[in-house]
Amino acid sequence: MSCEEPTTSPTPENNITVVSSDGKEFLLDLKLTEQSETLARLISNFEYDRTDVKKDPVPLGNITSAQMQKIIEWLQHHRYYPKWEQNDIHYSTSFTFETWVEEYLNIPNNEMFELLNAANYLNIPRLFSTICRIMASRITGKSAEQIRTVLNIKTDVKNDVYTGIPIQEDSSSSEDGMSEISLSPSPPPI
Amino acid sequence: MTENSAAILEELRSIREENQESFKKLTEEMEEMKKKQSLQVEMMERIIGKLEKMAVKTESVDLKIMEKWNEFPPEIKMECISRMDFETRLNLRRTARAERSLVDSRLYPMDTVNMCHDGIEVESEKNYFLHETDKCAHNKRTSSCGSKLLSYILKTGIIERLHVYLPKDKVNKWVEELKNSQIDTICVKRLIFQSTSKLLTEFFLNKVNKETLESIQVVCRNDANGILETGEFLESPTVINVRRLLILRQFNTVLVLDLIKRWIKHDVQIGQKLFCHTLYPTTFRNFFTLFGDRVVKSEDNYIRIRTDNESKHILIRSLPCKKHAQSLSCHVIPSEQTIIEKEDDYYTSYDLSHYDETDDDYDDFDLFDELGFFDDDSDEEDSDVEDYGFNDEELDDEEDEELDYVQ
Repeated sequence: MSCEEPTTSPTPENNITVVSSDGKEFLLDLKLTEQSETLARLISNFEYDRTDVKKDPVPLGNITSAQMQKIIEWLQHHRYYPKWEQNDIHYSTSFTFETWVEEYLNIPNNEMFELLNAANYLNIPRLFSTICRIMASRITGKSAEQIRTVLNIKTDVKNDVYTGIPIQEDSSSSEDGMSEISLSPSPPPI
Repeated sequence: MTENSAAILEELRSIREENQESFKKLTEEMEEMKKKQSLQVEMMERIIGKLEKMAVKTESVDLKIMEKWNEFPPEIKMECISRMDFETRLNLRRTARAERSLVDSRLYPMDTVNMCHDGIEVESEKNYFLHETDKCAHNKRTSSCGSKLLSYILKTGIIERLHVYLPKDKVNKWVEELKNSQIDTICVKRLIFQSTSKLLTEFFLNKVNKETLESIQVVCRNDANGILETGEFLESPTVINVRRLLILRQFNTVLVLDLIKRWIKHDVQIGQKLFCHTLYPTTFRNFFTLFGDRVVKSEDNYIRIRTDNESKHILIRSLPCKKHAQSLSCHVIPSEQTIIEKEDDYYTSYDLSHYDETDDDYDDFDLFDELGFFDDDSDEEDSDVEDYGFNDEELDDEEDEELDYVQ
């Protein structure tokens, strides 16, 4: 295994340095960067995989050092995993995760949202997809009203027949009548 | 003494034979019972599976706030939404107009959509959703929500299996509402008619996306006023061109002949198949009358005819069928094909006895009723189309015998 330490040691030939938004440097094994489509493309464009090319530090202005640390942990864990296949993306509604992933993502919601942004920015599809699934799993089984609460959505849709909860009215809402559909089974109370 | 012994011996032999016979009979009965029992177990497991899927959704309610959701760009939200199950997406689209337009901006794969007597089921490997239409039918405001939900599903779903069924009293109203809901096309792979009222069948045959459609199955028994009796069904371009057509009902041979003529006229693609039961079993006499000059080869159980396209032949076979009337399969094959392999499992694996109209004891058995899961307040006349047990997985392979034809 390599990297993870913000380093002052000499840069080995198979590593690149990335710099987080708060100025912290991370030494990254080139093998790990293969999981990030953004970094892989950058390395390919600048030919950083060649030993005779000088590698300048790569600034990652959108990613804090804490997020970078977390991402490197992910990359290292999945170092030997097969390449991510995008197939059946829509079918991945399975909410079963390996224990390591559950522990890894056992973080406050806001941190997870930031991590999702970072995974999107660096284009790490396995991490991105996993966080999306985790987030989907966190609102699964909740009623419309509960989802409003969880996602802090300010509603502009009226007449929630299902929960019976009065909702701020809006004249143009409910255009397709679908908001009136009552579902089965009943959701648990809030 | 010897005579006595011989007589006793003879008697013993006959007793043994009798015993053997009754033992054989008992064994057969046991086998039959076992089969029924395993069917019951299977149905129970399916019910338990559905209940478990429902239970997962109603576990604990964790209301940790994820307020940054609103800061996400739509494309990230969409990625999350596409990983949600149907019911959650439905609930999310009810939260605000922005979420609704996001949810509605994409088509979603659905394994099985089942229009059943009690409502609409959407089922996938991990999730199960049931909308009980009758629950909101009595309410003026929500009386049409069933058809609205159905039209929503048909608009936004990429459906693997769609079971089409409506009770007779709902057909006119629902089809009218479906027509008014501006459904462009219905993306479905396997269209399965559980009932064939004219309006309903016409609607689906007209709206289904021909590109995505792989097969049409008619699995209901003869229902009065069904479109099939008029032959209109087989005249629909959708039916003529569908790759696989399976009709598990007794069918007038003339209609089959008519369909084959249409196949020839429309020069349908190689690989196209039809399976059906015929009203009048036995020979290929009718086929000879109609296609005599086209016949390339014929045997007791198959006939091969040429089409107007030199590269295509049509193979018509009579298939062995356990209890049922004669079954026919028609298959468009390349004319140079000499060896026809065994009949496709797609057809032969169906346990046709399940649809045997004479086997009343078997057909009328409904475990849901037995267990009191659903209150069956349906009309008697509707009950014969409520066979939701139709499922590939429960089919056996008894008929899967090798049928090789060498030309």
